Amino acid sequence: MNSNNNKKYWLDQAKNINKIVYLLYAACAGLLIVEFFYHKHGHFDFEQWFGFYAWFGFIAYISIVMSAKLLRKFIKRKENYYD
Amino acid sequence: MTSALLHPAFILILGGLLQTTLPSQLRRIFLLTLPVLAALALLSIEPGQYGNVQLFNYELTLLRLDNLSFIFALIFHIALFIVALYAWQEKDTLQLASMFVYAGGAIGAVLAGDLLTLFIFWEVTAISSALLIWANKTTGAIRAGQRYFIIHVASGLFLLAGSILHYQTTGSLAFEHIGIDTVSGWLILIAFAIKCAFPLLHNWLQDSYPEASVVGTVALSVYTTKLAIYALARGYAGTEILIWIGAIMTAFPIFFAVIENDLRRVLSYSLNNQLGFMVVGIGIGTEMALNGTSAHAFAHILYKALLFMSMGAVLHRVGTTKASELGGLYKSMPWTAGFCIIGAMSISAFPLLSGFVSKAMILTAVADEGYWLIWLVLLFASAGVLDHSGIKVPFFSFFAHDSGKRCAEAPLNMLLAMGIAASLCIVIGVHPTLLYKLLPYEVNFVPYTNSHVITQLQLLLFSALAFAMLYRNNFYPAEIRATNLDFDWFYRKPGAYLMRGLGSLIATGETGLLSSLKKILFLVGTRLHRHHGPQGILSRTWPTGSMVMWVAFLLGAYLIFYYIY
Repeated sequence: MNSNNNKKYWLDQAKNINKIVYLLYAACAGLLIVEFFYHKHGHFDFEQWFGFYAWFGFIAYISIVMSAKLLRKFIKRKENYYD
Repeated sequence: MTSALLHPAFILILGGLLQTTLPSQLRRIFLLTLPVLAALALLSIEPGQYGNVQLFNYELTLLRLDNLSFIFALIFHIALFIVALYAWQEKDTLQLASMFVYAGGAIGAVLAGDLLTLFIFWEVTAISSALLIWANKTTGAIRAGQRYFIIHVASGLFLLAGSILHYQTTGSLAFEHIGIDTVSGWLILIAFAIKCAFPLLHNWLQDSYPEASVVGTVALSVYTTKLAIYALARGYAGTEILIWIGAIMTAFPIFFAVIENDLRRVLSYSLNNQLGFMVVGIGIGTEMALNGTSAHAFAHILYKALLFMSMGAVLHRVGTTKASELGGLYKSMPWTAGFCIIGAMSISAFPLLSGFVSKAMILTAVADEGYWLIWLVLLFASAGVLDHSGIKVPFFSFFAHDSGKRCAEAPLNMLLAMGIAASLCIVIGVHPTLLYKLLPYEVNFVPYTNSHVITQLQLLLFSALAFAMLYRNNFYPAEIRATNLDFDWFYRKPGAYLMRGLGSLIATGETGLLSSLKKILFLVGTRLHRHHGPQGILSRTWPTGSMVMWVAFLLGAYLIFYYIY
């Protein structure tokens, strides 16, 4: 058990985590560049805006997390609140 | 009726009860065989109506098989096989019996051709699923199970009242399109809405599912709410109000999921959010939308069960699913982590996985009808799904900060069950036609186009980018041990006080009433005693002469009356 505990994993090193994050940055950049090279077919005009899905996802995500954080101020109670 | 014994629901319910008498080794094999046998029975039935019985004046149809009931019944069987494999080591035969009766009840309800049969199976699922929650035996489970039970029995009562009224107005109990033009339509809708966890009626779900046992929660996640989805699709397709309700349902649970610490509760909020997509599809009601809803229910049952199984495995090995206590578990449970990631990517609708090919149908159906605001809400909710189910659940349990907890990998049977579910997620994602063939209407939809794949990846990866930036800059809300209030607060706190207050009021009223009743009785008693008691005027012995005099008097009076009239 102990030897298992001391075993070093690839993800234990910060530089490897950075590699994953950089890969994500690169993928995002790639997905924006692709915008120029394909025909986007959608139902609504706003879908045709440049990188609509990209920035919509980004902004939606941040607003969800930040407003949830705000929500916590109002609804957070002690763990044994109902006991 | 020749098909009575071949009704899959009866096979499962009877088998589920029978297994309690078997020795453990035989029981395990028997329980794995049951879903297969029931599924074979299902596949052997030709579409149509069977088991028409006359009960009093009512014409019942025990089994109606058509395209819509088939796909739901089929996935219920597949899920039961997976859950039974997951529960291979479970020794509590009562829990296993509840599970099979529950699954059988849900299948019976989906196959019910009339509202009374639906009601009976509806209540079977309510009782058996409550037993499944109570099977965990903790105080929390018992209390949550009680709340769950009361709410689901209430749902059944609405269904019964609505059905009776429906029969009185239409003269038929057949379970077809109902709509909201009548009072009975509304009553039945409320019954379905409770079971489907509509906004403000939703809390029984997040309250009870995380309290059930490792195995119980997986089974619960499959049946109750998807039965409600089926019922809504059957009775209320094209009801516009459902579009808006569904959209709210996709959006609001997200915020609660983001800050919830118990990962099984996070998954419960996420389940609620997924139901929202299906409800929107039902509200739209076009063939494309109903196909989307059915496909999404099918795909959702698999990846949601997979996610609950992975968290169940964590609970089984570590003893908790609180994100604040977990982290780094991929070192101990790499397979579980891998399966969990497949489930998480499926629910987030990554290309090549099941959610991608099913959710897109609903979104396209919404856009086809021009509901741009609803479409945006669904897109917004999709980004939210990526957060709480796609990232939060696997990240905080298996990665993030290493909790230092080391345990064994999940038992082999659990890994196999997760493996099957994960494979199905991939198979459906890679080969969507396999799923599309099962849908109620002909499918005219191509999920894999450049445009769809790229835009979906943009949405997901830029959301993931947002997570990476928030997390690395310490903006992401920390996992902390806490209880977050939700709508159930109203009935668990002020509601409980009110009921307690009302209770004591009734109690004081009762004692008051009883004591005044006693006083009155005492008063009457003493009066009676005074007149009829040993010393009472009416209990004295009278001489015969006075008796004769009174008789003569009465006869005289009678004579006088006779002459006058």
